Amino acid sequence: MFRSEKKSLYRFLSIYLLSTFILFAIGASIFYTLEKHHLIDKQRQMMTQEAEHLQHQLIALHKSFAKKLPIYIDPAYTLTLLDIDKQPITGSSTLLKLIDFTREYQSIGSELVYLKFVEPYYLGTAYIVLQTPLDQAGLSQVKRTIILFMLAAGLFFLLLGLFLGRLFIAPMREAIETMNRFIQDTTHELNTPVSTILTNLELIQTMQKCDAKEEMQRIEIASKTLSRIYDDLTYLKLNHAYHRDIRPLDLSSLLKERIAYFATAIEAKKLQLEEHVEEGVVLEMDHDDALRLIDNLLSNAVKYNRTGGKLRIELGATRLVIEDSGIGMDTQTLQYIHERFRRANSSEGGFGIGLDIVHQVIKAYGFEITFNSQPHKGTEVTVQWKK
Amino acid sequence: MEKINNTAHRYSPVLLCILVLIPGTLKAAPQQETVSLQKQCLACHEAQQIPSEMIYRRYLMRYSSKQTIKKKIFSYLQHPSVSTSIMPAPFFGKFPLKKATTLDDKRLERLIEAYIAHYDVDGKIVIVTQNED
Repeated sequence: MFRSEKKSLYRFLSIYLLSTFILFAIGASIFYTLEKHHLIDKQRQMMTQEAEHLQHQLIALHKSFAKKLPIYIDPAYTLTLLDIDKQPITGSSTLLKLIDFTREYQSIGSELVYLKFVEPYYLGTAYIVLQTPLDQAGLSQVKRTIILFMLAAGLFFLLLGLFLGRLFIAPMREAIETMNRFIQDTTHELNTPVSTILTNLELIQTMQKCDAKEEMQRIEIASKTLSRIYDDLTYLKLNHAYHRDIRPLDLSSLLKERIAYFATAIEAKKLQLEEHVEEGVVLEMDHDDALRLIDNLLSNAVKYNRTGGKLRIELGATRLVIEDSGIGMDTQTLQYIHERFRRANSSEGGFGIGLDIVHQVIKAYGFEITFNSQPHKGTEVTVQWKK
Repeated sequence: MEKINNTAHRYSPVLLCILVLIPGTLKAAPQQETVSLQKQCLACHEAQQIPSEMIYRRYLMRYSSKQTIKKKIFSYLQHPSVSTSIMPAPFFGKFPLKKATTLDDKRLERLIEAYIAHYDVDGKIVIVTQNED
């Protein structure tokens, strides 16, 4: 799967799953509220029945003149009988001070209270107050059901999302594949003529048969630029199926070799080269990755530099610094500069794939890259690795 | 220290008497009212077989509040009439209407309180949870 495909799929999945989760959360919240009310209603109904039963007992006891007047009650409830002045006749609810006597049913904390007004006042009772804890077991059961449902629904919608996501990005995949095929065909066609030009140029320079050295230099730079574009495009095309050959690589030698390769371009732009390359810097790296990393950074530093500017190249045990005195970039440009087909300045040539490749290499090896740039002053790129 | 001990020792019989007499005095007051109630009210009610407890239950059923019951009994005893009585009119066909009381207000109030305390149901009602059967 291509990087852009993955990105689109993740975006689609996150939006899809988030909206589904919000929808289900609202649904679950409504369901929980309804179930809670249903449980409370059930408890209220039972309390009403118990209060009716108690009222009948009060009527019967009112006629009794026995020494003890027993009232039988379900152990699930706490009973308090109050007179019309709200003074307890028997029992004493701890919630008496909190009861609202204008409401028949009320929830106080985790307790459910039922207040029944009795008239006439058998045994002086004006209010029957029944109290019971809310059905926590029932509520826990509802919560468990909701969580299980959410998990099952989450899994189902994740799978559905993956399926839909693949359908959603299918046209994009086709477009990318078409573009890749085009690049592959183009690069293949470019390779032979570019190689021919470069080989012949070297031959002419070796034989010193040409007097137009400046013109020859320009042809060499243009041909090398073409060659690099070819390499970059091939790298990008093969990147997703790329097998890296990681082995100890003498970065110092490679960097020197690449500086020499860019020497013509540096000379043509009359750049002052400051070169501090520490000897024997070895990294566990694939040769092509290192090559593309160095080439792209050097190419940018030369391409975006001003004529007669400064180019500082520093290689230490833990970092590579390439600094130019070119056009520089503002902070807004720096945010998206590593994206493919982005260019800091459209007046210069290129496809805008250079820093995308650099970014891919950096990511693959866990390096860190920092851009220190100021418009019209220059850019300092630092690639840091752990020794 | 010794002085304090001697003082406490000297007054200890007096303190003992106070401690013994106070609860007795406190207990004696309601007992005295109960005796008075028996003598002033219930003796006559019992002789005439007037159902005193049933009368109190009627007060309870109509007014519920002890304060209101107290006021209503007080008012009735000062000006008894068939129309202001808690009992229905046919009751007076069987039992005579009481004469207005001659007791002073404070004494009458105390006796009414004793009457209410004597017949009240507060201490009689017992809540029994059904698994205790």
